[in-house]
Amino acid sequence: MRRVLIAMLLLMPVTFLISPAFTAMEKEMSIQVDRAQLRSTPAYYGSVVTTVNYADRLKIIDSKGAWVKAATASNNATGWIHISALTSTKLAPKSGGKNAPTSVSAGELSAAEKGFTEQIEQAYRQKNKAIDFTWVDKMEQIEISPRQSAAFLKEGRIEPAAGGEQ
Amino acid sequence: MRRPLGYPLLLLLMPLLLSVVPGCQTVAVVTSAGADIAAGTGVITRNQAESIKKSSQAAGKAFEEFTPENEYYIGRTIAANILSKYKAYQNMGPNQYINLIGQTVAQASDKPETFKGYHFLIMDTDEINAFATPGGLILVSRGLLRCCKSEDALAAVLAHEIGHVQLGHGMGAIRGSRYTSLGKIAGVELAKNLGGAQLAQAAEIFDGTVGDIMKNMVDNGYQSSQEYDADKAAVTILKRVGYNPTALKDMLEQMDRQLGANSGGFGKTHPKPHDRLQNIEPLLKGLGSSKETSARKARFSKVMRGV
Repeated sequence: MRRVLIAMLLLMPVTFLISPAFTAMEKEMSIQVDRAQLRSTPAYYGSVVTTVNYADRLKIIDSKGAWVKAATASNNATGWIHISALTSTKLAPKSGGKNAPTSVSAGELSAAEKGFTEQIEQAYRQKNKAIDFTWVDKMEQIEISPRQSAAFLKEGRIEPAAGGEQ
Repeated sequence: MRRPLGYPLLLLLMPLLLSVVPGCQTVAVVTSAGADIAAGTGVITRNQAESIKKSSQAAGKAFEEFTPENEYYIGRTIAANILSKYKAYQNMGPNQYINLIGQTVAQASDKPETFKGYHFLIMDTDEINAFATPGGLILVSRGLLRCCKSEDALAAVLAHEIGHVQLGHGMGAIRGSRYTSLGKIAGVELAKNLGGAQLAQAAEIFDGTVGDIMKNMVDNGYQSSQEYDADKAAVTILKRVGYNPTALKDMLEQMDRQLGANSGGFGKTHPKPHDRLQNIEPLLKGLGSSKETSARKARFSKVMRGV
């Protein structure tokens, strides 16, 4: 009896989070990566519905595994996005970015947003002039689009395994 | 003997703590612990626990979690340091090809989204080596690529490195004191850009953070268990995409043959291919041997011929 009671107590915080899935998740979340895609299906090979940018807010509609169905606030496009692109934190759009506001007050920035950023890299490079970032910049420019990926897989006759859920 | 009351009492309080404490940080920590406990007792499976932990971490906004942007800047600096030691291989054909494979395969990982995505570059050295920096900048040596006799084997090498990024092995090397020091600076009300003294302090913590990861990744190597976990992640990723995971086995066998005079730091920092083979063997049961279509074979030998 006592063991059952302990097991039930142990499970309470867990069930609190998983049933129904994502009840504890925010209704709105932010994009925490520079750029990401909403897709037609909850899979990496789903076709792209629209592109979203850092700090964009999304309305959360549904979830399946590690994928979340969401709608953009701006044009109400709906699609699936992997949870790794999202955070519950409200983020301040980057200056110079697509959604950049005219000014960002200190209070709007979370602690981590003030942390290791471009400013710190500049300070590091000033101090370590022998460390060369040329090829780091060059490798970042090698971008493979979802369309190129799809064509590459098709040409090589590489097909996703059945049941291989992400 | 009577057990002290503290343990059940704490359990009773757990749901209460959850509902009262508003900080996401606390919730993330408590739910991770709760999921671990529940999995440990067999109430839920380890997979379920991991997914709860993942979603609670994603929903939490604890400062202890560096943002993808923070990871990106850490990763860039580490890659620049490595590329000061090893030269970049400037033949863009093979570099484009490994990016086609790598960036495609990364989309099927458990962490397809990083701040500026996954990017791959070949290091111009005969040494057998590879480095996966936080944020997804991945460097592989010509020596390691020569252990790959097929596109599937190449995909296996890249998927293993993506596994390290997905599992946060680089970031895991950061000492706790860096978080504490950063927390102290971040606690101060700051303008958008850090001011003189705080900038200097943050830059110093950044140096230390980069040093922590470099020491672990380049000098000492990850723990054997982390290498095995990256191999397991690679098998899962390859299956999802449709590459044959037995190619990882082919690659390890080839590496075993080639590891010799040219091993460089790799032999010291990685478990022996033989041990890695034993670890993945059970995961490959029932899978056929690695066979490739002629289109795949043709493009592999055309691009990789000179590497």
